[in-house]
Amino acid sequence: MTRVLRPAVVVLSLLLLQLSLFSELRVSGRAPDLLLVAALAAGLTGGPDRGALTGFVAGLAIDLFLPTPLGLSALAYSIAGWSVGQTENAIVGEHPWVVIPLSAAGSAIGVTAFVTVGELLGQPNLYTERFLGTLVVTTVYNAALAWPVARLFRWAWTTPGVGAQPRPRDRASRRVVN
Amino acid sequence: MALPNPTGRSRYTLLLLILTSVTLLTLDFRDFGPLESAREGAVDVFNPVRSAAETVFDPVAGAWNRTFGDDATERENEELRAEIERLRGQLIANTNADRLLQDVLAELDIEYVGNLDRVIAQVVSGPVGNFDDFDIEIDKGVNDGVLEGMPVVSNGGLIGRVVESGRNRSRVRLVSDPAFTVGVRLLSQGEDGDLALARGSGLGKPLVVTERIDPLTDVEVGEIVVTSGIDRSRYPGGIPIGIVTDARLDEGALEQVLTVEPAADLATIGFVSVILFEPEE
Repeated sequence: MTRVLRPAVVVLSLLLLQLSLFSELRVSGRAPDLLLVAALAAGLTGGPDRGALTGFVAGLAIDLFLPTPLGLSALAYSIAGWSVGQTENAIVGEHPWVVIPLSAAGSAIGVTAFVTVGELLGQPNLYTERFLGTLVVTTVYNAALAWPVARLFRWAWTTPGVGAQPRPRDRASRRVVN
Repeated sequence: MALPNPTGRSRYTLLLLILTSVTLLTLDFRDFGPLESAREGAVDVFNPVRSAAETVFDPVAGAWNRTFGDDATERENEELRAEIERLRGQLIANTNADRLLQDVLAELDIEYVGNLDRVIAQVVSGPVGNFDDFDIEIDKGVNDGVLEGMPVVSNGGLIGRVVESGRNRSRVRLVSDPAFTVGVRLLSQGEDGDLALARGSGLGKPLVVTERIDPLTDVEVGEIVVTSGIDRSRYPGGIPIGIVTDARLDEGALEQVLTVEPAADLATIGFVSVILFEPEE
């Protein structure tokens, strides 16, 4: 139960912050997307499985408040979370110099997936003349927020009294050592 | 013993999540009732917390917008815009054409929007993300009689329509949305004039009126465009849309294309009125 509780608390808090604060903190009319950042941070700190699952839940949560169809953000964010987790698995640890560029790349993947699938589904106002600007600003904005959110998720993956739960990658390598 | 393959497992997880998302998208497209109810229920449960958080963070958001946001520039013009909107509204109210409209409507016994019930609402939120620029949220919902499809006006004129109504909040789509269309006519022509279609063309841009404005119709800059209010229209007739700023022939010279500056200032909306109007089936 506690394994789910902490990540759920983090995602809900980020949703609340997105809706009440960060949607107003716009640069050039563009806001950061904390729920996409949640997917990326979960992927970076917990691996592809957790990145995809967190992306799905976070995307579904923000989908409730968007005019786009339910499931569109969930689809895009789970792909983004999985991709970042997968890439991070192949590289090194959670150093800021890894987190920030990976988050930027993941953010670009998430936004592009959202717009591409939305366009395929015939949603209006996605691929407009503002798209490139939105992609650039949100990528930078999301990447800047990824490090603090990654710290939150590092806390979320720990079980009280036990410590950090092993990631699938860690489990596999431990078996090899033993 | 073979080691588990984390990459393979995570691919399987991703595939499952993609399939679930696609299923949700399909159900949503088919207006699957239980899904819609669950969505509305979740939003209704979360909204009180959201409103409390908005109140708490409002000073921070205000300070940000004053310092960094587009509002820093906008703020300097806010008072001027409000004044322009007030003058536009006054112009529409005082113009001879408006008197003509009142006369025509009185003669034809058509309900003018002023006689319809309305609910005053406050704008509580703008866009949530980066691809919902044309939506705002107001603090009135089904509990106040606000239903999907109802027109929303400000002092200047039509600003949009309700596209989603929760228990205590509703989402309003603004007229500037390029996918937004509304049946209109020129006020000076009265009920028998050409009926046309106004479309949004983006944030901060004028509306474009196309279709069925005869090339021979004399349209002057400054003319007022109002909702047509024809049978089964989503909007009652006579709601000001805006003022014609340009009239030209389309490429084939078969009809006129009008550029219309919205009567309502969409950049600084604070309070709005929802007209409790439901079109006849």
